[in-house]
Amino acid sequence: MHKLHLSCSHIADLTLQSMDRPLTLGEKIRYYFHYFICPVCRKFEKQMRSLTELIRVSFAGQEPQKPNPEFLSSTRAKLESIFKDPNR
Amino acid sequence: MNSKPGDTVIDSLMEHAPALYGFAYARLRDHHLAEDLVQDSLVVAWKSWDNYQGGSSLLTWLTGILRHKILDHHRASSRRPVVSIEENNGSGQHSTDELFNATGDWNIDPNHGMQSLMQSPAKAAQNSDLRKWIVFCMEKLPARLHLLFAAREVDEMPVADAAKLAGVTEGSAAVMLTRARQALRLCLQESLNR
Repeated sequence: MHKLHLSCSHIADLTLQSMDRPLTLGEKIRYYFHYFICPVCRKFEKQMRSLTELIRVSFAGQEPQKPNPEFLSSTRAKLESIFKDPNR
Repeated sequence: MNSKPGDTVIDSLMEHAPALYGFAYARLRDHHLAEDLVQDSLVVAWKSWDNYQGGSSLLTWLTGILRHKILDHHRASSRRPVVSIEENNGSGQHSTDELFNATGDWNIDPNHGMQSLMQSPAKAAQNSDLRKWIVFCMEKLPARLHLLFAAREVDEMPVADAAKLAGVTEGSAAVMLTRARQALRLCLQESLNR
C-alpha cells in the first residue's frame, strides 16, 4: 500500500493538505479509496475537522488581553504631541 | 480642561486601543511588540486621519493598519523560513516524525482517548476540557508558527496571505501548517490521556 502511496501516512498527509488546498483528481481517487476501507483514517479526518472548529471557538472565546494603563496614557500623549507640533 | 480641536478624534482612536492591543497580543504573544505595533498604528491613523472616509467602521480601518504593521515587522525580521517545530518537543513528547512506521502504518492509535474530539465540531467546541487543552497546546507553538496558524485558522486568510504575514514562503507555509496541525492534535491527545 505504501508503494502505491495509499498507506495511512500518505492519506493522513492528504487529509491535512486538503484543509489548505483542493486535492488533485489523482489525490482524491487515492484518498477516497483508502478512506473507504480504513476506519482509523476516517476517525482521524473527523478529529481534524473538529480541531479546526475547536481552535476557532477557543481563540474567539479567550479573555482578550488588557493593555497596561501606562501604555494607554503614553500612547495618548504621543498622539497629542503630534497635534501640538504640526510643523514637526 | 480646555478641549482642543482634534481631541474627539484622539478620543475615538484611543477608545479602540484596548481592542487593537488584544488583537495584536493574541497573535504575537509578545507584550512589548504588541504595544509598539499598536502605538505605531494609532500614530499612522492619526496622521492619515483625512484618509478615513468612514466607509468601514473605525475599528475595521484601524485593524487593517495594524495588520500592515504586523506584516512589515515580520518582513523586516525575516530569516530563513522556520519549517521545523520539533524545537518545542524538548519535554520528551513524540515528534511528528514518529507517527508512522516504515510501511506507512500508524505507530500509535490516533483515536485513543479522543472520543470528545470525534463528536460533532459544535459539540467539541463546547467541551471545556478540550478548550483548556487547545489553548495550552497553541501556546507551545513558536511565535512565527502561531501567527501563521492563527492567520490561517482563525482569520481564515488564504495561505499566500498568511505566509506573507508570517514572513515565510508559500511553500514553507504549507509544510508548517500541516506540521502544526499534526503537533496540535498530538499535544491534545497526550493532554487528554495524561
